[in-house]
Amino acid sequence: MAQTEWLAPRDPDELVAALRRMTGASRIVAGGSDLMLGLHASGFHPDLLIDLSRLDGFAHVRHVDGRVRVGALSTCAQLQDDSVLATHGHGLAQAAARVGSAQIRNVATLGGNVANASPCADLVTALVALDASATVIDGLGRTRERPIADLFAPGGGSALPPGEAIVECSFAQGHADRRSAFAKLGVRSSVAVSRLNAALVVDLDRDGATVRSARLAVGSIASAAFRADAVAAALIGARIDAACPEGFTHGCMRLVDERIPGRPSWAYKRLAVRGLAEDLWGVIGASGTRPVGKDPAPRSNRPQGW
Amino acid sequence: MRLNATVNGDPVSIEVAADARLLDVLRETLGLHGAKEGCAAGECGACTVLLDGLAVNACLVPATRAQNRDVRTVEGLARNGVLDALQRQFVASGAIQCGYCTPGMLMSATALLARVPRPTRAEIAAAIAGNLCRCTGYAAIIDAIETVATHQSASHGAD
Ligand SMILES: Cc1cc2nc3c(=O)[nH]c(=O)nc-3n(C[C@H](O)[C@H](O)[C@H](O)COP(=O)(O)OP(=O)(O)OC[C@H]3O[C@@H](n4cnc5c(N)ncnc54)[C@H](O)[C@@H]3O)c2cc1C
Ligand code: FES
Ligand code: FES
Repeated sequence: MAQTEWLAPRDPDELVAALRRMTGASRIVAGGSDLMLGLHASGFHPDLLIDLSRLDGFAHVRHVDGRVRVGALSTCAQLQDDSVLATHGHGLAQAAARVGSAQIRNVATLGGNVANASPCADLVTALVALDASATVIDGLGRTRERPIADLFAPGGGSALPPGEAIVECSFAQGHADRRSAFAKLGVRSSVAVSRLNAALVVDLDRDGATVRSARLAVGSIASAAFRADAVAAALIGARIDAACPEGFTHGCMRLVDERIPGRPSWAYKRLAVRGLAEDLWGVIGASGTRPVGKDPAPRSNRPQGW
Repeated sequence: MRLNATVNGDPVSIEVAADARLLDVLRETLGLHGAKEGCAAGECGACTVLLDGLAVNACLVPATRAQNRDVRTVEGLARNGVLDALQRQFVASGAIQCGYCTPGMLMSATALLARVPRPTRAEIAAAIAGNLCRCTGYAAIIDAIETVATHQSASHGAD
């Protein structure tokens, strides 16, 4: 068995040089929370590991020219307490706060969450609702900005070819009074509890209380999180201090009916999604900008046993 | 590759495979058996150690991540054979039964108290949410951490 080579680029030039050397048997590692688990479980030894953790300057959150830019190496622990996101991307901060445990959040990165392309990746759902794009760099040093959805293969999994790395995700802040929220159910555990997550972004009228437009993303009922703006349209014209519009909760339930009819998880997820819809609306109403720690208590339970 | 790190205050310089897990290097190369392998999947927290003060699952972290960094395991808590305040209180509060989760619990608690000296019970529960215990039901563990926090902040307040 050949030894795995290890490269830890410190700047973009070194990153590009490392990416140029990648083969199909090479891997990128950021936090390692998905990758190391996979390597250990499968016994696969890559020919080359590119460790991104020493790259300088890819863990930022900035609000520039109406866009919020988040470095791929930002960890969930950073994002959940980030002051820029608290006002300009509450849903993403909330999603980060709900990832795994403290130990996982200390290492799990934004780029890893996107590149791993799991159907239930929490940050992905928040990013999809925010209409985010990802900036990807290749082994020739070319960067491209692409919609997040383009990074997911149609049948599931990542569409990112070997030799490309995500360096940043970004989303427009818009001019309106914008609020965003994230909610999820279930926990990750070896007993594979059903999961469901959703994120909502609304723009308010000038009165600061009436929904002018809305976008919804739902995760874990398809190969990747997807937009369901037709369902979110039921919120247009609603006052955010009023009860959750029935059209919205029913629309969410219909989504589950359409996407996973007949699956064992269908009955559970159908009921669960109603609670999620109400949670999302509650967060928007209570102010999409309050600190993440003040959100309603999560509904998930600690997994039982090992 | 050569790994140079500080482990429990001591410099170490060892050869590690690029894709080795920190847990294996601690247990097998360095003979530190405090961090346990429970699930090997990031779910039980028995392998929790501190990397530059942050609690991480040693079963998921590449050993190379410790390069030029500070690693603390449960073996590094006691000083000169004297248990630290959290360890003593875990014993006093009956927060240990079989003890399998204890090293990880102690490291999560250590990271929490370094960051939030006077946590609420909810903050304590959140900090140990990634540490499973199948014996105690958690209440005694949370009590122990809360007691230490109260004593420590009381003694700091008196300074
Ligand atoms: C116990 C446990 C609980 C978890 N709970 C949750 C949860 O609640 N919600 C959730 O969404 N996820 C969860 N996860 C999954 C995981 O923690 C996240 O997906 C995390 O964001 C992955 O980031 P990472 O930096 O650790 O990625 P890594 O493991 O380092 O990498 C993941 C994948 O992405 C690739 N990659 C990483 N960074 C880049 C980059 N910049 N460019 C290109 N490719 C890249 C790697 O090659 C690998 O294929 C959990 C995992 C565990 C083990
Ligand atoms: S062994 Fe690492 S979390 Fe269980
Ligand atoms: S004391 Fe036995 S697992 Fe916690």
